[in-house]
Amino acid sequence: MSGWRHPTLGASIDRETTLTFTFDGQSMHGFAGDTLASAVLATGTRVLGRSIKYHRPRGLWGMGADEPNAIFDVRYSDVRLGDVHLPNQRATTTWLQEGMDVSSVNANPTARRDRLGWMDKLHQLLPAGFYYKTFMALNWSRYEPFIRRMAGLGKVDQSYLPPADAPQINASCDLLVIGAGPAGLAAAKAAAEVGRSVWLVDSGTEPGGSLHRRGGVINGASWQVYANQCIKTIQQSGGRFLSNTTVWGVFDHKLFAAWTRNVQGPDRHLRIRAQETVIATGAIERPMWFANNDLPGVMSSEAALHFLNCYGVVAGQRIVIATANDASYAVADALVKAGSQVTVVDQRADAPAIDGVTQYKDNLVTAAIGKNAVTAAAVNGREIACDTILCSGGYTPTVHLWCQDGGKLDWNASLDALVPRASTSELKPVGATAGQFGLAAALSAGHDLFLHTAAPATSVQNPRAQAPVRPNPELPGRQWIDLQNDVTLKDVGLAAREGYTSVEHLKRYTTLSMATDQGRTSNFAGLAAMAAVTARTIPKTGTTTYRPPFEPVPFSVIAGRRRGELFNPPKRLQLEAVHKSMGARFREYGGWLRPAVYGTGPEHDLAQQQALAARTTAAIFDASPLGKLEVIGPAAAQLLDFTGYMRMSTLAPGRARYGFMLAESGILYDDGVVFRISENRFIVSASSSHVDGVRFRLEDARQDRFGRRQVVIHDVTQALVTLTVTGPKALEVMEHAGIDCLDLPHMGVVETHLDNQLLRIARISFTGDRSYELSVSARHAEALCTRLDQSLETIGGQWIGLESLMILRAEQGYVLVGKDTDGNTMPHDLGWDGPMKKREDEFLGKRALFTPAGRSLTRRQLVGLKVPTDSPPLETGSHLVPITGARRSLGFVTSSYHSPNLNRPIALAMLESGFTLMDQQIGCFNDGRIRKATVTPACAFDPSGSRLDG
Amino acid sequence: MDERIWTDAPLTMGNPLTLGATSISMVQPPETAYLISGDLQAAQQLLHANAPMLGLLNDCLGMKSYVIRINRDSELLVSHNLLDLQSGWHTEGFGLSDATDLYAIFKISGREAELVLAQGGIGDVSSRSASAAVMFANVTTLLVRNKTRAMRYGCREPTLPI
Repeated sequence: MSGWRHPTLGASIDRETTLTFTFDGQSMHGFAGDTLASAVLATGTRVLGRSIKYHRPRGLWGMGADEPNAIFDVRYSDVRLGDVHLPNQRATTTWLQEGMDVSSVNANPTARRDRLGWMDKLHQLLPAGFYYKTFMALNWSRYEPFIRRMAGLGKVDQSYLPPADAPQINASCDLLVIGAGPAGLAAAKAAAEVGRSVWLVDSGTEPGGSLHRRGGVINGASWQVYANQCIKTIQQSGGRFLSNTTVWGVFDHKLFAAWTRNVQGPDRHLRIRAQETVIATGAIERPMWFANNDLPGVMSSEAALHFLNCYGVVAGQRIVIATANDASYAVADALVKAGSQVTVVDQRADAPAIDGVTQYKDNLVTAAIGKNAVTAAAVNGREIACDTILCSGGYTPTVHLWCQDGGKLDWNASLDALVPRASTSELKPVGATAGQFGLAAALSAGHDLFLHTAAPATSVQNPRAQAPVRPNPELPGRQWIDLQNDVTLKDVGLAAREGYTSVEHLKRYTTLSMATDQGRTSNFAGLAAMAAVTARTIPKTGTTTYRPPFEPVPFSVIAGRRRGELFNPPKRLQLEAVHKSMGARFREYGGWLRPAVYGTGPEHDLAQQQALAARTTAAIFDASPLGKLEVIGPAAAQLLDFTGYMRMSTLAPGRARYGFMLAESGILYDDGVVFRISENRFIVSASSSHVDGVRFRLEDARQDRFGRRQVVIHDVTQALVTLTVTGPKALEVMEHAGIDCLDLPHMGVVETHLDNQLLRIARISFTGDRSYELSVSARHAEALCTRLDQSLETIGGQWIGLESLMILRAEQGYVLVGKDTDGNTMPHDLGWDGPMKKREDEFLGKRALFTPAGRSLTRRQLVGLKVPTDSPPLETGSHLVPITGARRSLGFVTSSYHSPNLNRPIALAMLESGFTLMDQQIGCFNDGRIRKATVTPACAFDPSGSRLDG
Repeated sequence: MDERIWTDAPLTMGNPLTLGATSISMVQPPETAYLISGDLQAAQQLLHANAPMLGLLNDCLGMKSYVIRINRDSELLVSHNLLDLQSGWHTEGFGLSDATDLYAIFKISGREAELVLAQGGIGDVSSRSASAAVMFANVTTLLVRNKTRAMRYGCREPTLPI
């Protein structure tokens, strides 16, 4: 036992509220305000986990996101959330709650008595990269299961489904200040004083950052007074302070992602765009490197001060501080005052004197001694009994966000650190992030960003430059570079000897800095060690790439709320309620909720019966989702000629033409009918699910080729409702409804009036029968619907849904782009080769049609397939294979139905060289069975087209 | 996912959706609306010389007719009076289409209306933009303000950055 709770210290805890919890089955207690780390440390527990590879015992190192060892599985019950299971929680950033059941990871059964502790004895057999060389004999899958069982962090409880209720908040602000330590506070306050609206963000519950542990007097009062003044000034100028919020990533166009932790309700995810950003993210203390520097009891000295002043937890009874800088002396002083026995081992000969402390100047800690925890420190051949070794190997500026934004780093030899290079990012680093160490320097730097008045005053002196501390390969024993991924100094040397001298190769070969702590404590040591063994400088050695997230963020926070159906809401018809009243059953088609069939009974039977009725009487269906893209202007015809496969400039006003839109690759993107309403006005009737895409492509070409005074595009799809009357009695239905269209020829279009409202009638057909598409403005749709329905009732006929329509169009061989075509289909594969042969002008996708692939004789082509009348329809998706010889896929069935009008199955398929295989037999392979089918033309019903005028 | 499980009916007039202190309801569409693209200055001189041009979250309270700017060369002319303009190309240099029923109009009101906007995609309701077009819940919408009430014109047009 070493850590203990001081009777009075600890500004962040509420001693009136005791919380009980268990760690590895042992009952413990802490106080409200404790983190798991402070609560466990206060109990004197030292072994908090096991290392990932060697299963060495590990204790607490740090105080925040830098913690590599104290990773816990946490279970508790919550009024709002029920039974909660959170794997891999960092003890230093997880708040203690009543009744928590906490267990160490990578340990069995407990961290203290781990069954795999013997693994460490095999360490000479398990150097870096051993698995790349060792597990070669058999397939990797033979080794993987037991390796996974032995290594890895927490276990996911698959029965626990956390609520996905984290709101995603989009926000923007004038000035974003990241970090509410002294530099961030000073910058935010100064900016607010000159009228800026500031968002100050900090991962802590209260502002202050390092002031919480270091303390200080600012402007003659305690730092808390100054911090409160800052927040008040920020709020008065329209800004805000976001506590418990971590900015975890910088993305393109200065988008900052931030995660707000919330115990009472769901966490929040913020996406912040700022006009200007200041980063004041501080610095991280480096370890010292000596033999066994991973033993429980070896800690960061800043962390010890943090636990003492914030939580009243003293790291140990007998403490050795290994340092090479002035900052550790305040730690020593505080620990002595708290009641610990402290020895300072300073690498410098000119170390300052300190009262009440045994001091060894110009000395090094060369080893930590102990089995499962520190019992002594070896100092230049002398053993000093102790239970804790606090390390301070200098400070590394926290430049993650700077680098994520593309900022570069420069080596500053006097600071012994990589610092942001000016003008390589628009972010403004300030304070320790920029290498401005010390309270006075931080306050002054933050203040001076926005104001040229006197900076906040403090009596705290800036520290002297830190002496360089490096891993020393001369020292005996294993020195740990990366605690979380078990990388030693010798591993770095091995990587260099094997040729992995680039830091990026070193990282991947040894897994250095690839753990969830993002290499905060290991990165610098790895660079320094590699620089030393390759006789290069640190700047020449370079750094690895900094990527988001800054610290692990729960997926549930990034993913946002579970939306159910709202995740991708369908578009809904204006007449949905009317269709429902007529018995429609709805289904989603291409993003629209549309009637599948009408009536009760089996859906298949209804579709068959309604498809039969449509060919014998009349039918009406809702075609509103068809695109209505108005292309208007003197260059409208020119634009459509360029974007379409068929020429539209030759279309006469009042006429319609079927056409294709191709991608630049010559592949079919969409098909549809184009109406020419007047000389300068066309309407592109894109297929229902492609309206947005066609609009985008038209707009793309327009902006690329035409000025704004030549042609414009308006998508008015949802302004109009379209009802289609089809069938042999369609004309009768129209006439009985009082809609005059006798003279309108097939592929004719006219704009007229009905009840003084605009009505567009287009005589185009998707069923192969005489059809009329009637479009009116949405507010008049019900009146038109009623009129047609009454007429239908008198003449005879039915409303049909999409399931019947699919049968009718398949009987005719009409394709659905995307269903009957694939990512290779070109227009000539459907038999439409006229424009390709005749058009001499340029159009989108033309060149690709004439490539060797486009002209290949073995292209898949659209055909029909016929099977015996009494057999069931072919399975859609069946592969087409040769009847004899080696089996290979020649294509596939794209659509397949029973045709009630032909009283036999019909199918459409894409078949290799299909046009040359008419009347030949082909195999249809599905689910291990081959059925024979005869290749036919795609159109199975009324190939002469006589019914279009019937 | 079962593709047939959807809400029984879309949001309809007179049935507001209430979320705590915030209410979202459909609003009666205007008498007429037209999409206009091309030379907007020419369109303004010819069609709506006196109608104010509204950008993001500009106030339309009490206006009988106004113009919502969509992007550099397109706008929506909204009028609560019946206008009878000819769809098609106007030789002055602009195209016009009837868009009276093109947009579903929603009113978002209440104490947390701004939070609804923030979650839907509008980061800062105080930000200024000449264009009222924003992505809201992945749908291109036009957003103007009606006193303290935020109103949006829903639209599913993909708009290229211009």
